[in-house]
Amino acid sequence: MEFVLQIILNSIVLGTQILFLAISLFLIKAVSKIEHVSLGAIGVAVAYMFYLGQTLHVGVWFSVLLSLLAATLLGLLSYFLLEKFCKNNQILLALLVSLSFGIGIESVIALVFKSGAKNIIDGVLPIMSFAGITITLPGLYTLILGVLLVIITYVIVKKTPAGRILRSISENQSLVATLGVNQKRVRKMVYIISSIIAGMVGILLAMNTSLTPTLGFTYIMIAFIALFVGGPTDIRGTIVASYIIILIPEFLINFAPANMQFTSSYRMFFIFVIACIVLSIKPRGIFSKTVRQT
Amino acid sequence: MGYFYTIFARFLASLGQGVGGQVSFSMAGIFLLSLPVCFSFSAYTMAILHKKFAVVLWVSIAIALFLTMILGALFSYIYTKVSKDSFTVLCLGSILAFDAFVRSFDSLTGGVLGISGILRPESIRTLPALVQFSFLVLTVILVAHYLVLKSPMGRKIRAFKEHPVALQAFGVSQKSVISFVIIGGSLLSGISGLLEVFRIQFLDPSFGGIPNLIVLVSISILALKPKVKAVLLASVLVVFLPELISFLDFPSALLGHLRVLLYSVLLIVLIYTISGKSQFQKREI
Repeated sequence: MEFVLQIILNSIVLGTQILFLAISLFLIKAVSKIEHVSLGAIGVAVAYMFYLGQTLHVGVWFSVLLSLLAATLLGLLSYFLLEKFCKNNQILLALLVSLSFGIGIESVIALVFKSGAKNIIDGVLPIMSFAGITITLPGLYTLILGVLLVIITYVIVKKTPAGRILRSISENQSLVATLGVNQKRVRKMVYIISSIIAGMVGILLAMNTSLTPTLGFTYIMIAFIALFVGGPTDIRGTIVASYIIILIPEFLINFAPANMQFTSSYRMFFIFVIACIVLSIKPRGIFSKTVRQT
Repeated sequence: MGYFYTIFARFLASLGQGVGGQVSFSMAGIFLLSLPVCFSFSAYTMAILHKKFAVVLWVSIAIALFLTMILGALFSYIYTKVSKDSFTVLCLGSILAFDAFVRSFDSLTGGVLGISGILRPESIRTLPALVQFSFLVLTVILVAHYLVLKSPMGRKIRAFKEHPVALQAFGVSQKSVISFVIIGGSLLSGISGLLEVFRIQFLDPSFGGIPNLIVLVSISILALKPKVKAVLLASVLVVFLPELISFLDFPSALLGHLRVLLYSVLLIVLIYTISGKSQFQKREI
């Protein structure tokens, strides 16, 4: 029983990290319809800035400030790169530009910091135990921040004027423009906020594992799959799918029959298969709804 | 001389994949980002059949290409079922999924250590012979590509990108065009994968993957016009231009990252340059 609970807890922690990224992707897709693939690389770059601050012994708060600055700059840079394609509605070209931008960021990180793994926390990770199950301190931070982020995002998107503007832009950009809403400013803010959230994920991930230049790509692809499996138009779907696509492979890996032992490296393969099956049956996602096409 | 043979062999392999990419990206508007998976899949299948199951080499090659076409048919089925955005993301995800599968199934694929000592067929055992063989294969591919471009199928593929509904109204099945493009592109990637693995004679999970995708997309975007000359020139530019950095005095450990950085910057510049051109803007109807 404790083993099952441990698997579930680990899946919830990882699912929450994926949820952070999926929410960032959801927000960007809502305002610009673009799949911003380079968010993973941006998150890793921010984590490297945090690592740099720690290495230079400038204190945690200065490292956080450095990371925030990196996230803001990269968010702005990605906005300027992708805005043209958003205006011309060239979504797939924007995906390619975003992909190239992300790969470029990873190459720069590899050139500056080298490809070897880096550790933000040296030595053994601090852990907490209760009822026979353990959780690392970064994992606990992830859960707390995850709950806060979900509540804040849900309230903002569903209940506030800013959320209504966000949803309006995703449905009908022309009409929103005639109402005097500065869409460029909204998109800029969303890109920056998403980059900051991605950076937060990068730092939390790097605390739990080792930091490498290519760490972000796998997680951003899982987040994308969560977004599409859940339905890119409804944040509830994103939240649910982020956990489902982590829980199911974890159970398959840990509870497979003895003659079919799967290692954890099969996770991405199972996630891909689940996505293909779900999207073949429900192409718009589990919680999809039809939005007005303009 | 060996260096030039190596570069030329890489150019020919990239050209084969570039033809598939041109047909799918530029002509049909299908962002088939799973071509690197087919590139790796055919190489791994051939190597596993020959080395693990002692199948005759040419038979292994034929089976590998056939199975790659089956994989292409699977992607073609997925394309008809999901939205374009989802398909593009699934294609990117397939690269990671295949990498995860290859690393995990180490009893068959060798895991992270890969498969070494892949022998070339007897008749193309030396590098110059391999280059000549590759040249012959690519000549056939380019002639076939030219014929397809001039044929009704070529017009159907271009029409599919411009106005798929009108194409259907003329009685042409969209699924047939999609299948032709995706399966054909997968087959060409598979052939390129085999040529490349015979050149390096070694396979590991990093074979193909994202760097291969960047090169492929760069060629496809650059080869905007549906002409054989366009894909030839695009492949020359994309393969030979980054080789200039090899002649600069950089540590070898950094050259790989510099090359990838150069490709990503090149691709961004290319997309910015051509995004205003008519081929990537939908006709207003």
